[in-house]
Amino acid sequence: MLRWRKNAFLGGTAALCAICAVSVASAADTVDPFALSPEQLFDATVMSVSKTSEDLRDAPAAVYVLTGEDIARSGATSIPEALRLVPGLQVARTNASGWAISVRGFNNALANKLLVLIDGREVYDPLFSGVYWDMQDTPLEDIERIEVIRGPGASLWGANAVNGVINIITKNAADTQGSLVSVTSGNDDHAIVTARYGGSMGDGAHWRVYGKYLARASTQTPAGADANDAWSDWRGGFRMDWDPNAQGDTFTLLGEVYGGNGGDLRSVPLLTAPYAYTTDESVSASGANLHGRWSRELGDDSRFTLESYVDLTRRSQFTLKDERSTLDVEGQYELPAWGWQKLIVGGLYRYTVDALTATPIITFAKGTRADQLISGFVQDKITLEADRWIVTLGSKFEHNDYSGFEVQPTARLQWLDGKEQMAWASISRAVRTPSQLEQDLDIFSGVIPPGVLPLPIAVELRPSPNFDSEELIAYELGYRRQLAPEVQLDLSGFYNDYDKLATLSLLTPEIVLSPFHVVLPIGTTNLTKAKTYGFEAVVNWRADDHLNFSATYSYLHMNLDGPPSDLAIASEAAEGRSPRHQFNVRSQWDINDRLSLDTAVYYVDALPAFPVSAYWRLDARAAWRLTDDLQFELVGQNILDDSHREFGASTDVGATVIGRSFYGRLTWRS
Amino acid sequence: MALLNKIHRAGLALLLAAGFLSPAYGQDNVRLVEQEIKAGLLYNFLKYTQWPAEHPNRGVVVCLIGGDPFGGHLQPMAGRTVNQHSIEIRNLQNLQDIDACSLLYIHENQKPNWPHLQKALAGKDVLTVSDFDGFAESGGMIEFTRNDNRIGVKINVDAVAAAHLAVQSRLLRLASTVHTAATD
Repeated sequence: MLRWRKNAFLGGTAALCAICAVSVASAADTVDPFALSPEQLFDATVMSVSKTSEDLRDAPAAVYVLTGEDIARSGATSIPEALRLVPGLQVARTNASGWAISVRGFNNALANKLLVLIDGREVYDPLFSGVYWDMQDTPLEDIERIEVIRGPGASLWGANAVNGVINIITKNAADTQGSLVSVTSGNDDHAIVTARYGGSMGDGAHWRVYGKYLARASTQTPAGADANDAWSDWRGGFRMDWDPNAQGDTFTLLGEVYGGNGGDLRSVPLLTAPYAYTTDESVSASGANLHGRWSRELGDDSRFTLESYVDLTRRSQFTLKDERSTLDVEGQYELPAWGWQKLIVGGLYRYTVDALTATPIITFAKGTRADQLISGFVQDKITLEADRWIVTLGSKFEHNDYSGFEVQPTARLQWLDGKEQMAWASISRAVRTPSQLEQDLDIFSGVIPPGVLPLPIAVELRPSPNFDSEELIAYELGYRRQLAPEVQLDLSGFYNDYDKLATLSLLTPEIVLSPFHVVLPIGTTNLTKAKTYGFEAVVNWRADDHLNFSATYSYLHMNLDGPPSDLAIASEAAEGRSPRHQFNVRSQWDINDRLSLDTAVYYVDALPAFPVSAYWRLDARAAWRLTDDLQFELVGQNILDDSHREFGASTDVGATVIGRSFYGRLTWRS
Repeated sequence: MALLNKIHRAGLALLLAAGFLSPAYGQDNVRLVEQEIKAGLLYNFLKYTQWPAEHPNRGVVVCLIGGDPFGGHLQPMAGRTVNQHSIEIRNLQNLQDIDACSLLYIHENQKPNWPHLQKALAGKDVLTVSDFDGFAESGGMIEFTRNDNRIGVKINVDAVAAAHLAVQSRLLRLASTVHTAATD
């Protein structure tokens, strides 16, 4: 678990690798496996297809990896639920298919300081810089690992990677040969059916095709009513990996189509009595993407990668109707080592077209918007003293159509002491660039009934074309140590200094005659500052070959400084939306060859901004291998608690409570 | 002492500058594709196993049954020598030829066929190696395992002894040793 391999894809790990930029030897070309001792061979790291691999403890950043096995053993049935295990992450389920997820604070249903990638494809929606987690429903059986990097500067691309990056990496097709069928059924996930088949075409070419269907029950409102949020989705896709022997080339092609339907409860503002009503909103979403990649290892410890993807997404609900098409082309070149230095350069071009349809809630001046993004990076890893001191200097540069030119530099210093311990420190600048939400959209947010004034007051979020990027200077420290052969410790701490954070400023009220009401316009400004600090600790103890314990603790302190309430709306509210203390302890126990038992206990602190109290959560999973091909699992989640609320304001009519759930799953592999 | 340090550092600098500090030479561990590691280990199995003295001139024959999963990484072993014997690699077509094999690598796809193969191997001094889960416990000799990013092996000491083979302690120390599981 503590071993960390670089991603096969540019956007994520390869991106991080650029920061860590190990001098990966072109092992395949220079090392003769028959000349190695058994000790060396047992100690050798298995290279991924990208032929690059690296110890997690070598990465000078706060990295945590959930392996495919960790995900399976967590009992989670979705990516967001699996992310609860990751230190430094705030994960709150908002309803049956919605989650608020952030790293190191600023959590929100539209959390916008986090970059999420699936195989290097950005999955956050540029409309509001957030992620529709309901549509990120990759079959968990196909996930090789999820790498989470806390802190900025760890990605080469993406102005959104302010607080962190979540990088979801699916398995190489060579690792999913044969058949798999899994059927899950329980009180929360009524049905999840996944089918996969993988084959090969010879000459190092492998493929898989898969399909998945999911139907999830609705949850309840805190008052006990049905929350109208039952959710179902389907998807089908393929992946091909071609690794021709004896050449340094690897090719990957993957694609997917998907669709989903759900709903929620939505408060719709009215200018006449009763000034708001609650409606059953239905949500439908669909999309497709195709992604190709070519990577070549050159003999002299250098390599290049070219990749491109097309991504189409569509979402339709009462408040929002949106269709987007994106074309992305990226390239990266890792130069041969030059003396003490190792240089990596890269570039990206992205074109995205968004077509919005006006709704009773969201209007705009121009419905179709096309944007271009040009980005580049350069990074130099300098070995000051071999196997002791390494410094890495790099910067991203980008030009976007919202805030123009942006520079995001990072400096990292790393101290190594053999395999035993490693310490690192970094300073980075990062920005969260504006989105259409702030610059273009007019949102009819609510109506304050007569009382304050004799007239109703319509609260309207106005487009703010002058809204600029949010800025962060982050200071980070980390330390990793092998305390004993079976015990690892990983500590990281941060001090984040934010400026120009988005603020909902009150503008001058306007009177409208028909119907007679007052409009309170709100503009998005950059008037809030914040300082946050915290740390995350991870201990992993491999008690023996059959028993593993892992514990994480995360501390977060947020201090925002925004305009007072007569000038802005809740400018400091983010302080109370992320838990201060979080921890979890989990065990993975192989009782014998056929039976394993896994448990996890979570504690999440209260959210003072919401009616959300601190809660404990216990999950347990028992898995039996009935035959070599057939496995049965029984999972209980949130076992201790009838129901609890995880997010949402007291006035949020769409808020739901999360209850106890049980499911059984049968998995057949052959 | 200080002088030694200086020389050491200058040497490192030189190695680095020349691009020589590949992990094989540095203290960093080696990074290889899975089949290369397994091929290297097969070679070491040959090196650290003693066969009974009855066939001193048999040569070292590595047999593959069910196909070659090494993706071209095993072939370079052919013609190399181990303990002064040249290594030959054969794709076994006929079970009757099993006598000629020193080591038999059993492809995962032969798992259903394994009980049958075991009968054919009974009493023969052939070192059996495979990837499939449960191989060692079911009477196979060496099973490759994958622990996260590293390759490991399970060695069934009962099966090795029954074939009158001797695996040297250097290998046994690095392996996890198992016994044949009792069959009900």
